[in-house]
Amino acid sequence: MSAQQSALGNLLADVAKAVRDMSDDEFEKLVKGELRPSISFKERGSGIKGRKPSPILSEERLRSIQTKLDAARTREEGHQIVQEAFPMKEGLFIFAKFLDLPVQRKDKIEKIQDKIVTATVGRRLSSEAIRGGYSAK
Amino acid sequence: MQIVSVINYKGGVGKTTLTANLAAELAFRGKRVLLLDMDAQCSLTFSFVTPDYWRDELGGDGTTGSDKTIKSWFDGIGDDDLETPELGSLIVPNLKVAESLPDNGGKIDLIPSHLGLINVDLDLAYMLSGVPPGRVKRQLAKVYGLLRSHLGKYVAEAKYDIVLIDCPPNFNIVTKNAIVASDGILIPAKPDYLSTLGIDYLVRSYGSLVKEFNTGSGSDDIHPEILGVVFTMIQIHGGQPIRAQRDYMQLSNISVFSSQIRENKTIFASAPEDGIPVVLHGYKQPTYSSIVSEIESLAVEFCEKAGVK
Repeated sequence: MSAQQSALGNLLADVAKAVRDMSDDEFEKLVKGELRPSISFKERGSGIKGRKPSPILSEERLRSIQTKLDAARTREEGHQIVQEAFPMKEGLFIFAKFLDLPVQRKDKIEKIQDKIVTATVGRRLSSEAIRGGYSAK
Repeated sequence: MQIVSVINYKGGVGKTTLTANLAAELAFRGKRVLLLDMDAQCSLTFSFVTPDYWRDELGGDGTTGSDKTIKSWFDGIGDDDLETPELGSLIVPNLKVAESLPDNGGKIDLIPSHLGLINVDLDLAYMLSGVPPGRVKRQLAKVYGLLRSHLGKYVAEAKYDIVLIDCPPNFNIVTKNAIVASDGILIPAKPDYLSTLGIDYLVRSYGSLVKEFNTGSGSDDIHPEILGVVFTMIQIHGGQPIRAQRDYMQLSNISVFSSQIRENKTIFASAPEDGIPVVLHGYKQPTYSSIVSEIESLAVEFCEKAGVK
């Protein structure tokens, strides 16, 4: 592969990632033509470390995913939400940190997904099963 | 006046340590505190009196002397041939801890526990023998309410500011008596998987008991409030709980105290043997004084949540 092919491949991969990381609302607006994409170029950093979270992983966006998980009725549904929201490891890692979960950069994607679903949907379902309909109020 | 049960289904969560230190800090602040040890392990009792005094003077193991523990009260309730002692007559006199309290009206009184308390369930079950099936529920609810009627009356007369009941890590008749007698429930818990499940078990049992009592006792309804969960045995790193514990501290379906008590075997391990809770020691070492500050903070938050003035 030539250097030009490689650069073009990276560019398309960045575009694909930006589309994947969009929220449902943002994507709908893009399809309707209400949202216009803009592309900016900057020099690549030396690595992931020190890179600031992407704007599409704003706190508001992370909270909206957390809210979706709060409403999930099964662990499978939770996995689906996480996989769709964070197809890349970086986003997944940022979300796990946002939830204050004990994850490491060397953890595999599947492991981080499991931790997120267990700590949110799984823990809630376990609690409901044991409480049997009684609440602490 | 408030009666508060301290309980968790899961053992080893620092329940007794929390109870003793909370009582000591409240007494230091001028509150009149009555401690009732309902756990047959007698850990709270041994936090304030020596085992030999308990055996020889209080009859706590059933081998010597007359029984001056909470078991004698349950025995009297369950057996018509035995006299039921006044709860006030079971208070241990001259606790060593009094020497560490300022002269501001605050005090700690203790009603001790007994190794045989673990068998009280069977004795109380006999009270139900011969009861027609249709009346069992009502009778059972009355059994649960025994302590409530006696303690409430006694405490009102003695004018305690707060009663703390140290419950066993189960939900037998003794524990149910404590819950029914209480205005509030305090839940100490370690931030780990099994301890947090223990909280859910407790919520279920508590809810079921309240429902059973209120539909079957024929007396006034009870509404003990779950004051919240206090996280104990916290491991601190970088000024905050370690991440593995923080993971289990985010409980969305129950009230959680913002005050937390950290783990420190150096001072918590030996304090009960001295008869003086950690919070009453004047530590100079920063780590130890931080722990005292955490207990002080917990006492303030507890008073707010429990309505202790």
